[in-house]
Amino acid sequence: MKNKKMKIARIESDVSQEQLADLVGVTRQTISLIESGNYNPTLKLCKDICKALNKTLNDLFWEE
Amino acid sequence: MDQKKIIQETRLYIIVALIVGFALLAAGIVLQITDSNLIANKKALVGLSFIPFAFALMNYFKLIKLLKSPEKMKHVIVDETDERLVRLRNEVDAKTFKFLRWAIFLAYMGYTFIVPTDIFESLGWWLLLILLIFSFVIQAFFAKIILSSTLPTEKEE
Repeated sequence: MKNKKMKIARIESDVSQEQLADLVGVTRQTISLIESGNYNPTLKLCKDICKALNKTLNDLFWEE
Repeated sequence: MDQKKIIQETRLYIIVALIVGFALLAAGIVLQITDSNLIANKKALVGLSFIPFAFALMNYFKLIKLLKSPEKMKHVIVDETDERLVRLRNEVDAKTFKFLRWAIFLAYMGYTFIVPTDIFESLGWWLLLILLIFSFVIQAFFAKIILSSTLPTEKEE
């Protein structure tokens, strides 16, 4: 399932996939795969992404 | 993994590869000069020494690239620490290990059935047996080490 919340949060923060990847220390492909729902990140990476985008885990990774 | 650690690791690889390469080369040359009968094909040792030399050269170029360009260094660090890539590499290693273990098993079984006279007799048969046992034991050995290292200590509990 696609992670639209993360993609929206990233675009709202005006951060590109490349920039977010640099911030959290992964490749751009990993960010792309997370957003397209093809890769399940570890909790550590989820936390790093949340910190980089100034969001909570609930905001980005909790599915209603 | 930080920049210093990668540079140190690469230097270590170069040093170890050079030591192994020179040791093989020296052994090959000495055996040729002394005309020793320890190994039938002495030139093979000299030839084998080029493998560690090539490995050292490859790492030397990597080291130069890393020292010259910090931006490329950043890419190397990300490639080595990205959890997705690390997981994929571990999966590849695990599959390779399983494949090799089966290959050793088949080689051992084939050798045992095709050349029964060599059982308990030839060096090749013993080597295959030792490799086969080692390939099964080593997994349990590392599993124990890695699992015990991930357990919380008394203080953490």
